[in-house]
Amino acid sequence: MIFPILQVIEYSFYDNVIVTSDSTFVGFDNYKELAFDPIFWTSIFNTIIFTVGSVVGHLVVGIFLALLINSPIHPVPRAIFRTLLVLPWLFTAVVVALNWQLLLHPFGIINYALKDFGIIDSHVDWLGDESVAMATLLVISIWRGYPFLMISFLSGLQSIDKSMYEAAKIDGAGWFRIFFSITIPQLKPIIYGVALLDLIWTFQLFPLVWLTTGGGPGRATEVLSTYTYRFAFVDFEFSKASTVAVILLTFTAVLTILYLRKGKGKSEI
Amino acid sequence: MSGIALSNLKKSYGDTDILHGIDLEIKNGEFAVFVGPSGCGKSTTLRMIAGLETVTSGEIFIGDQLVNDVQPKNRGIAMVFQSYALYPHMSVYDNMAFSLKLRKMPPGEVQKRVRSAADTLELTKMLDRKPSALSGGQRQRVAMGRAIVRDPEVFLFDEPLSNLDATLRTQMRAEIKELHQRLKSTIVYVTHDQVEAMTLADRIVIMRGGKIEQSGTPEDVFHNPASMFVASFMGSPPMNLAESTVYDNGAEKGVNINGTVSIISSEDSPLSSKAGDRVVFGIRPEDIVPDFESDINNKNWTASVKVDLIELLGSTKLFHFHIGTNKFIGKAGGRSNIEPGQVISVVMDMRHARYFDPETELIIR
Repeated sequence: MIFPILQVIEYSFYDNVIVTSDSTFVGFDNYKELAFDPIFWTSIFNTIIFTVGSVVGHLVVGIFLALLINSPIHPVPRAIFRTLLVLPWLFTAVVVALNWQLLLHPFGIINYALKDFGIIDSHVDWLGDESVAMATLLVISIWRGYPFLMISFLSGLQSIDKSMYEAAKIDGAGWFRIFFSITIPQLKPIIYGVALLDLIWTFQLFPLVWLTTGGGPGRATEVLSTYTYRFAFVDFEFSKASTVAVILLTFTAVLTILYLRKGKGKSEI
Repeated sequence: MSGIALSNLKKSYGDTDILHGIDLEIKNGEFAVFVGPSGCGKSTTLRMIAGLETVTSGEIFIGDQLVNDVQPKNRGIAMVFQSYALYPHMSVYDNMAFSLKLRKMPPGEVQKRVRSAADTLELTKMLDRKPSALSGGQRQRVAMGRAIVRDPEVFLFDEPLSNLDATLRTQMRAEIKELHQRLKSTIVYVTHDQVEAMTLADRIVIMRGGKIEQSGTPEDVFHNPASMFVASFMGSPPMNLAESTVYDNGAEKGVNINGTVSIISSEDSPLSSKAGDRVVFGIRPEDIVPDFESDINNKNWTASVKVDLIELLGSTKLFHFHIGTNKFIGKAGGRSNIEPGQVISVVMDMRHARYFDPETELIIR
């Protein structure tokens, strides 16, 4: 496992790797070039928007749905809702991407529905219009990723001592106060853990973006992972691809160290 | 301060009836202890008073107010939970101040109340700590402090000592009793431990199967149990109970246990049943003592028995024996020289004997 990583790091300091046999050592030239590449900065910016948007979305939707399916309703509908709500997580990225492409097609069902309800005037090319592509991609990413967080939060919610809620009720706390003063602080360790994990996963997420927008239209949804892929397998610039990959790896490594530190801290308490 | 009145209080979950109509009046300032085996409905009753369970039918009054549909926070109650239910992410101070802050009390007043409660409970040095840094007894005190600061009309305790070890339990028991004497507030306390009930209560409410079996002072329920259940539930070891037959030879009336031992009843606890009637004869272990330790000089109350087993409790010795197939326990002094297998003469103090109807299991008056 170490060898390929080292090789990619090595490639990032060479020119014309893989495709030609006479690759030359260029030092930090690839990095310098990237630093002056506006598309690189766009992809960094997009990656941050995409990652932060997805993770925040996952957290909000996950916690909201976990609260819903944790509420005291009849066990049969509860079991049905639980199963239905976990489904998005079970599909592969290809299925998710295809599904959403069909749904979001300019002549797809979502456009017809929104038009019928009078929310939009004319059909929108959700994945093909630069002004809405990133927002649309975020919706798909949130839909696809919330179940993991929802399940984590649900197990967290179920482990909270019920008498604590009762004590708060007697103390005079209302729903919102209980949520912010009891539930959220009790879930804090889980929120930290899964949010960091989700950041790591989403930061390097490739298939969903590539299969829905392909980084486009233009560079509207170009993220570091699609940028790497484009360098490597569209432009065959493996040195540049390696350089972006190393940068991506650095970011992910920092997040991973944070996550592991958090875990270590917890086990020491 | 307020008293509590429960009127025909019922609780059902679906088709399962948990409480079958509870009628009870707890006076202002009274320390009432609900005691009974698991599933008898004591905690459910307490939770209904707290407003944590809905009322299926019947009425709950706290003071003069009907509180059936009143929110828990507006009932003027404070509750101490079995698990303490402290907020783990808040300091001891914040745990105690939480309800006061929610009431939008001025910060100065909040601080005054918390400090005063902390002083009372010896928690002043721990106010900045989190509950996880406290021992079981200290957590218990914080839970009590959280209740005290609210200055409630009624304190509700749900098995508050059951998570503590024996020594700490005895200590906390005394502290709760002291607290009641100082605050003079109405307390409803639930426990399955009859020793706790006896030591704490002004009034014990013994529950069984969703009904009140007996309610009265600790002395009353101990010495005058209304039923065989109460007789066997209160006291450790419980009252000896033996099926027996009433005999009456004109001059003397008494019970014949198992056709082997006949004991004449006392005028202090007269036997109202007729000759030949079946009754359950009940006598507390402390009322059966070895003849050589007794100052009762009544040959009609003695029996010769063979000791099966000895249990030394320190200051006393319990000795087990049989009369026919009925098992009995008596109490001797801790230094009594009795051994298993020994045949001794015991005196049964019939002034304190009780008789129960074997059908209804209720006391025969």
